[in-house]
Amino acid sequence: MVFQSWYFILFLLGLSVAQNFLLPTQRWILLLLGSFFFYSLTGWQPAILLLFTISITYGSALWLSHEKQQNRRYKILLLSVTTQILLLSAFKYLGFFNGLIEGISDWMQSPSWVQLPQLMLPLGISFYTFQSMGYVFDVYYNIRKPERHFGHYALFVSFFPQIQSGPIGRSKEMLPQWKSIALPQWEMVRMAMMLFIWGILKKFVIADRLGIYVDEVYDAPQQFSGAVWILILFLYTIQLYADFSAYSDMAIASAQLLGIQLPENFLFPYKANNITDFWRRWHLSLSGWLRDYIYTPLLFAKKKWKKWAVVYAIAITFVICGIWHGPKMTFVLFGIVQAVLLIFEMQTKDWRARLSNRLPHWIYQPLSIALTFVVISFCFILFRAEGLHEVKAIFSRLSCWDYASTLDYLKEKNGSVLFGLFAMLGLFLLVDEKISSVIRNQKENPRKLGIYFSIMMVVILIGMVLGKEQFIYFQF
Amino acid sequence: MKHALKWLSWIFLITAVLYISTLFCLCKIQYNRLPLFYLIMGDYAAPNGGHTYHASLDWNDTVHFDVVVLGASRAQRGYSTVLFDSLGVKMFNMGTPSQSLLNSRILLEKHVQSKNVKEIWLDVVPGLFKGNAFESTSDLIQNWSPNKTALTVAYESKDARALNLWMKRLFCSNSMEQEGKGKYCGNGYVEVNASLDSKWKTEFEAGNFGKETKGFVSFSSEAIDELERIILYCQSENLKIKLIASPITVFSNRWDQMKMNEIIQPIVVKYNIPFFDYSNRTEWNTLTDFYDEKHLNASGVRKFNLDLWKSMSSHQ
Repeated sequence: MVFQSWYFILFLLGLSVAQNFLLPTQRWILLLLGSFFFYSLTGWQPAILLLFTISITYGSALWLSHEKQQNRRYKILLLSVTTQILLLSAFKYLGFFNGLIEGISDWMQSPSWVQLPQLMLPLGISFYTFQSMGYVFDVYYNIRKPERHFGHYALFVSFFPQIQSGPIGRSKEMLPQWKSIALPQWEMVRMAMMLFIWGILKKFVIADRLGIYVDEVYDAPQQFSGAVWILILFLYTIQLYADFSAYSDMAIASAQLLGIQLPENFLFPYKANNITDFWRRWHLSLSGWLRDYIYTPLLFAKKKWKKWAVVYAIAITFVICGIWHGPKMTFVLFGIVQAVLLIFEMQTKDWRARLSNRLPHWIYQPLSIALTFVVISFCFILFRAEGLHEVKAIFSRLSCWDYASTLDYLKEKNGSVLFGLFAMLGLFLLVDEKISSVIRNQKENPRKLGIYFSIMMVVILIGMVLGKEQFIYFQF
Repeated sequence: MKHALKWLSWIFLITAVLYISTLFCLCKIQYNRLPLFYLIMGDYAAPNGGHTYHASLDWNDTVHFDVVVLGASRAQRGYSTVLFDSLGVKMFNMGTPSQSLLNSRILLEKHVQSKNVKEIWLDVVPGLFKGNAFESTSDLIQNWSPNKTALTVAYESKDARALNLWMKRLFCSNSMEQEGKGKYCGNGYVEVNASLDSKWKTEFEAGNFGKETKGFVSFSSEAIDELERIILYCQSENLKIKLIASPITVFSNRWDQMKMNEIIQPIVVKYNIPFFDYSNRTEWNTLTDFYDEKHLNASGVRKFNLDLWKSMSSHQ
């Protein structure tokens, strides 16, 4: 059941109305039932697995709270985290190992000696595993006490608006909300409606429209010239943001309608003026999780190494970030490239500061934003390509500046349509922040909000592209 | 609650006004002699006109026909109204490109009753069972008269794009002549007088056919239900209905064809209706009787129609 379906909207409205008949302290029951019903639509096996993860982490946290000895606490943490990683690996990474075994067998020119079973990837497993693992870390580091209410904890892990693709919630922000769920005021409902519609616009008018152009070129990488490829790299960068932020907005809006606040996931990432800044704005819930539970502990563990401790922590964190996205070498490489870029920025911090002082702000700022956008667009080749062979093919095409085929492409696509597309994207990037701030402001003039809402509805009705229901991040 | 209702009514009103006026402008402002509408919605809207528009102009609810043919492009280009006229059968071909079973039913319910038609021939191909094809919805909304039928097609498609097309229908005149594939011969029939095109000829000569190991179409239960609704409507209106699978080339996916027959057989037995299956007949030659991988050319149509008429006469 995807967010933009009528079934989901009816399901959400049904729950929202039904909440009125329950006391604030009882509403979690309805949300938990709704969440398990929602997740069970993907099959009973994934629901059992989810329940298993909930039980394991719930039990681990309680066990941790009873244990005073640091050594034993560490062992409990290790046991809990290992179990979860093994579970995640079994569903997500067995295919990767099969590929590795096949590769070695090919290289040794001998038949594959073992074939690991290929399991179906349960929806949202990477997200809820990290969310529940984060909770166990919180209890281990004494950031919070363990949740004793199993129902509240189960809802924290399985809450349906976020289970498919996040935002990855944090226990200290989420768990207290279940105790007493207040019904949202009209201003909040209106804001949620606006946010949901803004998400639909980003998904159907921008992301899916760009997807038509991007998919065509990625499906036949050898047929297009370097200039077309550069255009497509930029389009994909915007498509990915529009698609994922659309999902996040719809998740946040759905939760708001039920009286729950989810964390924000994006902070206008293409306004970043360097890669470090980009990671402070992109997929905030994941980057925050990695910072708090991987980067910071690693940094403290190796603080004697001084500057090298940072390099070490960045490298490990971003390789994990890459692997988290999926069992492909391209993702691992994506993580490594990000780590290299961040370390480079760390090393050149003083030099860049001097440069920014020398150049006028109106030159340095747009230039650094544009450069960051270009670098990120090239990095996302690793995100979108099917494998390293495709990455190689794309880079070989990027050096091939065949003007005739570029002109053919522009002609076939109709220059005016492409111009309109770029005008739309420019407008989107310009107004994104403005619209986001207006629709999140509960005190905004209702008539002004109504006009915004109507404009968004009309843009959706006229400009929507149908046919792709899934969000890009569902694959993770 | 009062605030909410007031705000919702306000945005509904503003949205409606804004939507209609935007579409009006997109239809009236032209670029390269085409309304701006096509620049934005060109992926599913085509300039008005073409064979469906002509067929719609030829159709009259008060004129009596012996047979009405329904189906997709293979029906539109596979049943010659001219030939059947010479055999004494007054036929109207209501086939339109990619016509889904849902749209066939709407056309049937809106225009065909026992007082103006005796018999329905439904041309069945695996593609019909994929579900609702938007190409057919788009074509009918833009070109089929009257507005009421177009509105029903738009409503039943449950697709926001259909609403845009219906609004466009109100604002853009349908006077442009668009050339479609083949020649319009009257009463809905489109004739293509050509031999197999070079692309398919090369494929044929290279032997690139019959190698598929699985089907391509995912058969939708909604489409199967629509077929039953069509049959039930005909029975309630005392219209005879015949299902026909027209001849296919060697390029057709035999797995899909088999699957379709498996679906159709129990239905024809259940409702006791005749099914003329030409998909398993071998006397049609891909090189000479077709102009592409699935459509009969004029000579193929002639051969098929005469044989079909003979079979039907002997069946009666």
